[in-house]
Amino acid sequence: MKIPFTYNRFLRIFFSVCFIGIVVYNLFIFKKEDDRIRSLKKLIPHQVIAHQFAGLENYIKDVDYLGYYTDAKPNDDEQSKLLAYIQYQIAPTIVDFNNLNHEYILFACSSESVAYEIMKKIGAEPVVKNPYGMILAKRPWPS
Amino acid sequence: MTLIVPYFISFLAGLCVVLSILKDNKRSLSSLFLISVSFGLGLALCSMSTFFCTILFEGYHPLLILFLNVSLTALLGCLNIGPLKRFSAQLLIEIKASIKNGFVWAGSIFYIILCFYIRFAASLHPWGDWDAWALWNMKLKFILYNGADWTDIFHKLHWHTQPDYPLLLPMMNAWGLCLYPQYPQINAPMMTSILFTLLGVLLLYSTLSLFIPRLHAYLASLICLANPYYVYKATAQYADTAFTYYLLGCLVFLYLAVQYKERSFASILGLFLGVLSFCKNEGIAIFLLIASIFLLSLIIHKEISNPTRKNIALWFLGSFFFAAVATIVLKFLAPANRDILTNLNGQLSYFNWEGILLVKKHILEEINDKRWVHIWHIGLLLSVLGIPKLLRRDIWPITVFLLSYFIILLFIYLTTTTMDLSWRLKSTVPRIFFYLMPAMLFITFLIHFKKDPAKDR
Repeated sequence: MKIPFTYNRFLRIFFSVCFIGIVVYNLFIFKKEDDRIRSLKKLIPHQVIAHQFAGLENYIKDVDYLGYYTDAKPNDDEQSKLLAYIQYQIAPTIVDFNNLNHEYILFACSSESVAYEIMKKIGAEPVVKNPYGMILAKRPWPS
Repeated sequence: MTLIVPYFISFLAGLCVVLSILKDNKRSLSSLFLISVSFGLGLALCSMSTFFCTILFEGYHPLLILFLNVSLTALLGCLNIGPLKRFSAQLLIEIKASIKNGFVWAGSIFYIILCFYIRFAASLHPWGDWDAWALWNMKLKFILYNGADWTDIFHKLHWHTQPDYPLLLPMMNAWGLCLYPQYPQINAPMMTSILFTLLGVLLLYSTLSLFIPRLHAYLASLICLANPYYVYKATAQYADTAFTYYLLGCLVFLYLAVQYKERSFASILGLFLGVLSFCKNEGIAIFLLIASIFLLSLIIHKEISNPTRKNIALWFLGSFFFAAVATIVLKFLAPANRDILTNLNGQLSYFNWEGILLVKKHILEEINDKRWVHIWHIGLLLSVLGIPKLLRRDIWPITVFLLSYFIILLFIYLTTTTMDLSWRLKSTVPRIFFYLMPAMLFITFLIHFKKDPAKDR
């Protein structure tokens, strides 16, 4: 089907103008974004991830597995994020979710009493606790 | 500096491969087009060789990988001295011609300014977004630091880490770190994401400028590069950024292969498809679609002889399987995917009209999202107004591919069983729109602004 020349020309001009308008508008947004980002950078100079587990890798060097215990609901989004954070932070150590059968276990519980109760049951001793309520514990392990 | 050397080696390797394949091709292809194609293919080639070395030598040995890739590049260089000389001469001629062209100066300066913005946007999230540190960069750490046990990523990690996902991106980053394998001290993933953002835009511009006025091709590339949301998503260090580039490459070479019926274009199409399958699992579905459509187009278009048809088909399939060896090997190492088309015999709670309406709702929300600044409105309107052109003999394969891909995605969504569909749509629809945007711009600009077909180079 042959399309009239003038219709083609109209479409080309119309859409060129629309897209040029979009690009120009985007460039204005760039400036706004730039200002927003620079003001944000004054508060947070760089992206911070897995800060809840910062320094943990110093205690578990050359450890193959880290048990991870939490009393949060199974499909809790925040817990999924924490699990992903810690796996990234301590890779290549493997985080074994809700498995207490390891020498080192990280407790990410809603309260310390829950964590200490579990530790008492399995005979684990706390190694270090951070300001975010994360407790790294160690249990007796055959060498 | 430590990243520039591996990237440059990749570029040289890719250039040798592309020039070797295109040496009998009579089409006039610009240097910029050849550079944008070569860089991406070269990175993929080095990523795959890193993958094979890591398997064969039971761990990541950066100096060995560097030695092998340098040797491979040197060998390819020696075998392609003639094409390399011709390419260098062509590049010099084009640079000399461009120096006197004000448009080239203005356009290049503007690109450079936007590049600084891309770098700035990337520095906002130097560790990437969720999938970057939860999947790709986490797996990179296993590859770099876990010796022979790097394969733990397939069977010992939580299922959230998607152990079935292909490894093009982490292996590419591992290759980038071969001179100084310390991540995150050297942020190869960030540089890779910046590079693919630029390569995608350059490929879009250089391909379109072969067929439409350069000003319009430049406009198409600016639509991506000037959109802050696009740039932010592109620098999130997801495999989607590389996937965007390779998908666009597939569509570009599908168009060239159908238009010109040359085995060299079919060969490069096969390579891009093979690489795409090692980039994300969707690449396998895309290969099946594009392969079927391309082979059908060979059958339908009667003007080529049977021997030529068979020759083109063999080169296409041969190139694909050559590039897909890594994907095939990965399927033996990794577990099966648990999210796509699983449990089809069970209860499919979304395979109904409500499911379709839910998908439609999320798609419309994404199209209307102000972050896209009406790009999708205009693009889709252009497509609808150009429906007769979408059925042209050189364009219909891309049209059929996009429609079929949409149907496949719809089917995958409606057969969701392992998660909430609303959550799945919310997480994936923006990314699909992101990686389809250059493809959408390619086809809409091509059909509406293409110069007289009789004057095609």
